[in-house]
Parts: sequence; structure tokens; C-alpha cells
Amino acid sequence: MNDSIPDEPAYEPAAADSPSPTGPLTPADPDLPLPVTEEDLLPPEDVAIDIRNLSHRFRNHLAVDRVTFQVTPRSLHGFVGPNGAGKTTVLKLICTLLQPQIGAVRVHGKDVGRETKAVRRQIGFMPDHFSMYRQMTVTEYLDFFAAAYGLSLADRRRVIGDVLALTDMDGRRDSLISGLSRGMQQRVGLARVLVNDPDLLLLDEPASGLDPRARIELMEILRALRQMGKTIFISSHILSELAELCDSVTIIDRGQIRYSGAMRELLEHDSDTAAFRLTVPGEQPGLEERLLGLDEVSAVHRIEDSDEYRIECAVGSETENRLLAAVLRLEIPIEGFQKDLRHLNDAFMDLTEQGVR
Amino acid sequence: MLRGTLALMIRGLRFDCRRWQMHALRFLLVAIFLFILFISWIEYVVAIGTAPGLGFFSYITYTNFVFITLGGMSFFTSSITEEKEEQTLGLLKMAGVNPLGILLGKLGPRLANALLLLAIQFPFVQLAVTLGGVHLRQIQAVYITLAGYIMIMAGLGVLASVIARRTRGAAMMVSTAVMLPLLIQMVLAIFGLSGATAPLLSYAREAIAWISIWSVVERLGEVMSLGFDESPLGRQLYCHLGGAAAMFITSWLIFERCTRQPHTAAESGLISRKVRSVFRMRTLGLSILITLPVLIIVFVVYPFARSAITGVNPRFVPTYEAVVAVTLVLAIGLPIVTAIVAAVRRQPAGRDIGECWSGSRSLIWKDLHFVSGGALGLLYRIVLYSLITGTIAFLIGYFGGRTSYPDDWVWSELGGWMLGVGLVAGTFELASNVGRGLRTEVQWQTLSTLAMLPQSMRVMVWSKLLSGLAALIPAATMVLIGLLMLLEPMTRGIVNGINRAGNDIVGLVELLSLPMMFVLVLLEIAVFVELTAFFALTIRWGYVVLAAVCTYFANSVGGIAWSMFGLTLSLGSMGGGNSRLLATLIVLVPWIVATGISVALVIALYHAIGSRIRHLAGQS
Repeated sequence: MNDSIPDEPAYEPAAADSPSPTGPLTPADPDLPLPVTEEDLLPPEDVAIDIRNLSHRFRNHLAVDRVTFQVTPRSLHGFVGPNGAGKTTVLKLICTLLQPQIGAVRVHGKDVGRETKAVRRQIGFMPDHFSMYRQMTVTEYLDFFAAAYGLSLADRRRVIGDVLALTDMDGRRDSLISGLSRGMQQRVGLARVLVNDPDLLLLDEPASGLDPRARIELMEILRALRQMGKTIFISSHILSELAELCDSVTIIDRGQIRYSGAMRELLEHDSDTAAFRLTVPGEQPGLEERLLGLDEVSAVHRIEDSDEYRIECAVGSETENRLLAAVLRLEIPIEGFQKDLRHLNDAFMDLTEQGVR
Repeated sequence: MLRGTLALMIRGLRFDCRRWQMHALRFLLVAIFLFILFISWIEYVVAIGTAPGLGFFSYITYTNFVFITLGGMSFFTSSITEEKEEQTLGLLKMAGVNPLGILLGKLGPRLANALLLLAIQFPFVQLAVTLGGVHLRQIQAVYITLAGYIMIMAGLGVLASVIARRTRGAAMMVSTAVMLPLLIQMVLAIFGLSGATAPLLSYAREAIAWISIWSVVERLGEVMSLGFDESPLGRQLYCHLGGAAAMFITSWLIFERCTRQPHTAAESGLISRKVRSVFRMRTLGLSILITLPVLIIVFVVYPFARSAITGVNPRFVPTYEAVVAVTLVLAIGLPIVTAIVAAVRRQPAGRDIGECWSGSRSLIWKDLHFVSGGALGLLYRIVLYSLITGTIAFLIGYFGGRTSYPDDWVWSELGGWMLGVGLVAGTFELASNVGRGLRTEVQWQTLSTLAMLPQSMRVMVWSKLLSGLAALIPAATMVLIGLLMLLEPMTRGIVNGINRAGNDIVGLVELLSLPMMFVLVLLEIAVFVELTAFFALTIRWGYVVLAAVCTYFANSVGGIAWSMFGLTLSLGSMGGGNSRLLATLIVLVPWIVATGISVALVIALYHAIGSRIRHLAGQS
């Protein structure tokens, strides 16, 4: 049997134009701008996850096509895409469950194919299903995994106490896993991921199937973990929460990366135009024309059925301050003025294609 | 109702049609029959034996019988329990399928498959007529008998499946039902030997003989005897069809009652947790230490106690009685002692089974406690093997006429049986534990989390094996005691072999035959366990039986090939030659070939298991 922790590389990291092992790769869409270019990339040692030209094929299905992106340390990175986009495949490639066929995946500078054992010690993976021994108690379950990671008895007791406290499961430590609710099982799953104190957490759909309260509490735990210095790579369909939670995001569709970078940059409309939202009390006749008359403003739209105006202007130095000063000079009553960000849903819809792959 | 039933049946048949394993099994079956037929034809051509057709047909018939028995314990028993385990029975009920529809829909495809496996043999088996020694009527009678046997096993299986909550429990019920008539017959035989020949008793005996599924053995013997010229439809068929119908109707009647309140995983877990909070490894260890001196005392004191009560001279008290007394004390006493120790040494909550063993041993700890049953499982096995040993001793002593004088007792006879039974039971138990350990990982989708541990896949597979071995302590103890009892005759055989080996190559081969056989047995066990592990990762149920079928056929084919090789060499040297060299070649060459093939199989399966685990871990 081949050891799953190989001493030799299980694959040859290849150049971007290398052919697929089972046939030619689908050429990337020429109209699509490259989301990440070589110049954007940091050295692999400086990032938590470094993926370059990664392709993976299941028989005739190209699940991942020349994917390149990076995740910076101590960040909360969202990974979104439609069903069948290749999210879980990428996650499994990062967490060593699959071996890369083409391309390279590095975790904290370590190649997942060559240094599998070292990578596994640094990561904690929570799959999108409850991977649990249901006839165990919570303590037995965590104790088993902590022991498997080679922790001493004293360390195990301390760590189990800590992770149970963090996930607020201390009161249920002697409960059987089979008797726990879905949300609680998810917490136990998260506690399990934390027993070996990994630097990088890979969470596949952690909030799926949870009620709103459990979801909010889970997000709170993730925030706390980020503050503790963990890098969190989270795949999810709940875009509103990801938008609030994540520092950066990668959007994947049909096996190809559509966007990878800071969340804020994605939510801003484009690099040439900035948009702001102005809220006024009640009807203000002629306001649209007055706003259009300002030098800084290129377009104004009144938001339907509201007292809000969307103002677009060219991006420049201190755009926000200059525009606000100009609006104030108009001497109109103002209730609110803020940068108008796109919702992640809109960005997602813009960047992904319709239809099931 | 009809629509729901048909939908279920079609789903089952489609499911089986799409699975390559079912087609491979049928293909394998036909290939093996053709091979055996070819061997029989060679026998016919070279005119060895009087009736090669009958030999071939007997082999096929009894092979079918064994595998219908084994298959029935797993194939039909999961028909309803798999829906209970997957919690889909409620959905079927909500879809408007009534109990009869569910029973027909779930059992129908399995029954059709089993009968199909029997039917595909029929054209090939008829070729036996051309080889001589068997008539077409006999073939028809045998296949009708076996079809009836399949029906009663199906009825029994579905009844157990309705009553039991899990497939394992249903399989246990069917196994007990298969063995129970044998035990009852044994008890009745004891009464018969004791002179209790009341008419009621003989009626009871006959009734059990016909109700029992074992009547099929009697019927097969009858059909296979020379000069059989009766109707192919025997009384056994009617009894079995009637029994199957009765059990099916009972399943229908009790279906609602048995499936009204599904037993949740949480409830099962709660029960198992309560049990394991009482029976712990340390508790069991301490109890064994307390019980062992008691067993020695019972063995030494028994003849005197018996003498004091009956007045028989202690020298004339049969040894087997002392052995039975010891095994009974162990079987009954150990659970009582364990319960007392557990009550005295009560553990605080949350410390049921103690802390997990560190490092790669953690995987062994997990499987030992949560797959093999932990301390309670060990206690159960100790009781079971004690009872088996006691029964063997009783049968040898009582029926073997070793009652008149204690010197008649031969320890090596008991040792041989203990070694054989312990080895076979232990092998099946090991395979079952390893298979279940892997199957549960697949079922609970935990392979991906296990694969993420810093242990290699190799360590994981070995841990499964070691946890299975740890659960084998009772069987291994039985084998060890058996070996100790066989020490004297074995030593004598070795000394004789050494004496002969000095000047005779045949003596040397004889001397080597024991270690050679030992190597082959070990390799065969390894192949069987690995096959079980591989099938556990491939199919949902029946993996132990399928592995047993494959091992059995491989064994049979090997055995036949070995005989044919010997035969060919003997025939080839009829004109003269070195007979000693020939005898040596007949033993050594097949052994080398068999060992080579077995080693290759062990290595190939080892890699296949690893590859399959990695594949499943990547999928889950």
C-alpha cells in the first residue's frame, strides 16, 4: 500500500501550459481578465495558502482549471461559488485529501504533496457533513482526536477544556454526540478541528443547515478565532455573512477563479468610479439636477421608492471628502452619506454564469 | 399498494442491475462451475473414480447449501433493517406504501436475485448427466430443494429484519434460528440415550426435524443417493414453502407494531453508554484475576466433590465432567464477578472507558471500544468460547464413551477441537471486526477526518487489524490452550520426522509439512481478512459472506489443481522413475505455487484496500 504520507512527490508540479494527465485542459476563456497575475503574488513562504496553476480532473470532468490564488496569514478568507464550481475539490486539495494532478498547493510554504504530514499538523479541516462518531461522548470524541495528534494526557485535558469553552460546549461535555442538535454537533466539529491548535482552518459550508441563532454564534466564534491569530478559509453559500465576516474572498465558477482579493475591492463597483449614497429627509424637488451640477459628480440616480440618491463620481484623491464638501455647500438637509458598496450577492451574480455545470 | 410495491421492486432490481458487483458475482459463479466441470471431465477421460458426474454435482450441491445458509444470514436480514438504519422507513410509509407493499418490494428483488443465482447454474449442471452417475431427475430435485431452502431463509430473514432494529441483530437472530434446532436435537438425543423414549418425545423430534431448516440436508442426502427415482417435489419443499409463507405473514402482521416507534441512534447510544459505564476493561481484568484461581480450584476439587455427593471413587469421576464444570463456572461466574467488581469500583461520570491511548494507538482504542464492543464484547466472547469448549468436552466425553474410566480421556482430542474451532471462529471474528470497523467509517463519513490525522493510511489499516486482534483475546486463548494440549503428540510427530528425515527425503517432507501447512493457513487467513476489508469498503452488507465465498472457491480450485497436479505426475511416471522424488515434488511444487499466489494476493489486496480508502476519503 502506498503510504498516504509520501516521502517522494506524488506528482510533478507543472507549468501553466502543461497538458492534463487525462487529456487537454479546457482553454481558459480569453475574454475573462486574469483575476490574479504572477506579479500580484507574494512569495509562498509569506502566505498561508499559495495555489498556483492548479488543475484537477475526475475522469472526464475538469473540476478545477488552472486556479491561482493566495490567502494571507491571520485573515478570514471567503471561498464562494455556485454548486459544482469546484470549491470542495480545491478544499480537499489544500487539506491533502486529494493529490494535485497539475500545479502546486502550498500551506505556509510547505508543499501539500511533498510535506503532507507537516501540512496536516498545521491545518484543521471541517468537511461539509457531520463526520462524527455518534456513539461517543463529546469528551471521548475530542480526546480521541487529541490523542491521535499525539498530545500528552495533561495537554489533552487542558486543550479539551479550552476548545469546549471557546465553542461554549462545556456544559455538554459528557453528552452523547448522537443526542446533540445540529448546531451543537457543528460546534463539536469545530472544537475537534481546534484540538491540535492549527494555524489554518479550512471550513467547508460550516453554516449549512444551522438555524439563524446557531449561524450567528458560529460567526462569532470564527471572529474570535481570527483574533487569536488563526487563518480561516471558509467556503459558504451565505454571502451576506461572508461579506460582513471576511477580509478577502475568492469567487470560483466552473473550475476557474473569477475574483480573488480584498472583499472591499470587490464590493466597490470598479476602479474608475466611486459610488456614494445620500439620504435626505423627504421629497427634495430639483435635488437630482443640483447634484448633477456639481463638478465632481458624473451621474445621479434616485433609488426607487426611497429618499436616497446614488451618486457616482470619478475616483481621485480624497474623493469622498471633496464630494461631501460639495454636497454640504448645496445647503440641503442630509440624513446620511456613505460609500455605496455592492452587495456580495450582486458581485457573485456578475461574476458567475447561469446554469448548472 | 401495487404501485408502491412495484416501484420498490423496480428500484431494487435497477439498483442491482447497475452494480457491477452483482454481474461479476454471477460471472464468477459460472466460471467456477465451468472449471469444476472441466476437472470432472478430465477425471472422466482418464477414467478415475466411478462417477465423476455425481462427484461434480455433489460438490456443487453442498457448496450451494453452505452459501445459501451463510448468504441467508446476511442477504435477507438487511431487507427492512437497512431502511430502519437509514431512517427511510417512515418516508416509505408516508409515501403511502403499506406494510405488505414494503415487505414485497424489499424482499422481492433479493429473492429474485438469489433464485437467479441458482437458476443460472441449472444449464451447466445438467452437463453432469453426460459424465455419468447422476440423473436429470436428481438434478431437478436438488434445485427444487435448494429453491425451497432459499424461500425459508428469505422468510426467516425478513421476519428477523422486521423484529430487529439493526442488521447485525437480525443476522444474530437468523444464526440462532439456524443453530437452535441442532441444539434441541442434541438435547433430545441425550434424553434418547438416557432411555427417555416417550412417544411424545419422538413426535417432537420428528416435528423439529421437519420444521428445522436442516431437513434440507436430509433431503439432499436422499436425492443424491443411488437409485433415487421419486418426485422432485419432496415433503421438505412443502414444509419449507409453508414455513416461509407463515413467517412472511407473521412479518406482515407484526410489521406496524415493530416499526411504529423507530429506535433512534441517541437511544442506542444511551444504552451502550450505560453499559460501558458499568463494564470497563480494568474491571474485567480484575474480575478475570479473581476468577482464575477459582477455576483451578474447581478443576482440582470437582472429582472429590462429586465423590462426596455420589459416593463414586474420585479416580472414576470422568475428566470431561471436570472440564465442563470449569467452563460453566467461567461462563456463569465471570459475569457475576465482573458485575460485583463494577458495583464496588463505580467510576465517576465522564470516565466510562478511561482516556484514549496516545498516538497511533488511539485508533486501536477507538475500534476496540466502539466497534468490537469493548469490555462487554470481551466478556461476551469469554462466555461464548467457554460454553463452546464445555460443549466440545461434553460431546467428546459423553458420546465418545469416555465415561467409564478417567484414563480414557485424551486431552489432545479436546485440544484439536479447541484449536480448530478457535481458529475458524477467531478468523471469522477478526474479519468481521476489521470489516465492520471500515464499514462504519464509510457509513458515518469519517474517513476524511481520519485521513487528515498525521498517521499514515498504513497505520490506520494496521490499527483496524490490531483492534480486531485485541478483541480476539478469548478466541486466541482457546487456540493457545488447544495448542498446549496438542504439544505432546506434535512433539512426538516432530521427533519421528527428524529421525526419518536423516535418511529419507519423504521423512523430511513430512517433517516440513506441519510448518508448510501453518504458513498456508496463515496466508489464507490473511487473504480472507483482506478480502473482507476490501468488500466492506465496496458493498454495504454481506461482505464477510462474500469474502468467505471467494476464499472457499479459491481454496477449492487450489485443492483440485493440487490433486490434478499430483495425478498428472503419478500418471506421467507410471513407466518408472524416482518415486521418492515424485512424492516430494507432488508436495513441494504445489505448496510453492500456492504460497506464491497467496503472497501475491495479500500484497495486491493490501494495496487495493489502501487505494480504496484514499479514494473514499477523497470522496467523503
